Amino acid sequence: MIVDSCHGRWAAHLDELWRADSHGVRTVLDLCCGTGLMAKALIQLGYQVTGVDGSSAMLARARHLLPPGTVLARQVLPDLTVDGPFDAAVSTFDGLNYLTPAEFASTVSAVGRRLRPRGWLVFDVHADAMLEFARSHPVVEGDAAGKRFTIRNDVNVRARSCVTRIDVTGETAADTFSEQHRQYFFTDPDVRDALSAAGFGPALVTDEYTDQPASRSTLRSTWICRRGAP
Amino acid sequence: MGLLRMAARTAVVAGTATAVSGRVARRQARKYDDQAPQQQEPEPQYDDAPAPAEGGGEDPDMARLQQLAQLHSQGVLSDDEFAAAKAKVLGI
Repeated sequence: MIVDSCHGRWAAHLDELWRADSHGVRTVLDLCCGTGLMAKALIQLGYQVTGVDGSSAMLARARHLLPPGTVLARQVLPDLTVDGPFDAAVSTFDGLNYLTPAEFASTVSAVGRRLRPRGWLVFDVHADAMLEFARSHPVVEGDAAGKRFTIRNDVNVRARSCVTRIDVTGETAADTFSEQHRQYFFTDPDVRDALSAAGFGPALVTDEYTDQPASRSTLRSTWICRRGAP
Repeated sequence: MGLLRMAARTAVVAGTATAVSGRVARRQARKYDDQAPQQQEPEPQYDDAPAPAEGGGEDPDMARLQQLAQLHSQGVLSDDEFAAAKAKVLGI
């Protein structure tokens, strides 16, 4: 199993942001929590995390990874039925890019209704440079953990969507598999309009959980905003 | 191996695929920058945002202050929150 070490670093970054909140942040809604790696990193920093994801298989893995009592729920966005209010909501690893722009807007709106006033929404999404990368790299090959993988990107520029297929070849048949994903690339105005319509204040946009402002070379941008006006 | 198969069939692989393609993309982007820096488009200007920390990693307090200033100037932190957070970093 390959685990990217980014989660601890990203959690520390979120912790830094939230320490400036005059009310303090304790409860966090993790949207598209997947196998729970981000939730685990946040729990280790003392946050109380509720995880939601559309995949029962991933939630089952999250259940094993996270402490007993952690609330995990299967929710297919934009339908969100978990109760709030939360101090903050996060969505990492471009989980929200699986939504269409309309679904994204509905999701942001549903999340806004579950945050306390001045609660935080922090998420990462693919930036235009990632769309351009996928378009200009229809095939990416490499090795990871002794397995050969091939990623094929089929970009629809007009629809700003990409179907990504990954084929992994391992030493045994069990290590050999394929998956296909469809993701949507939002424009900055798409995101800003959705946030504004959902009652969020102005956003700071940075380069993937760093203090660097997003630039044209940013592949994944992190959006940081809060419910309501300052 | 059953465990690997299970890992492969679930989200971990999806995340890995993205991460790997992201890393490859970054390498490619760097390579491209090295080869053709003159073609790079100017970065967008952010009103009132402080310049990115040059070597800011050397002084965590300075990096933290710059981060707070950035959040404040974009309207994410209120005046009061900015003042309080700044005072905490400066120990006053």
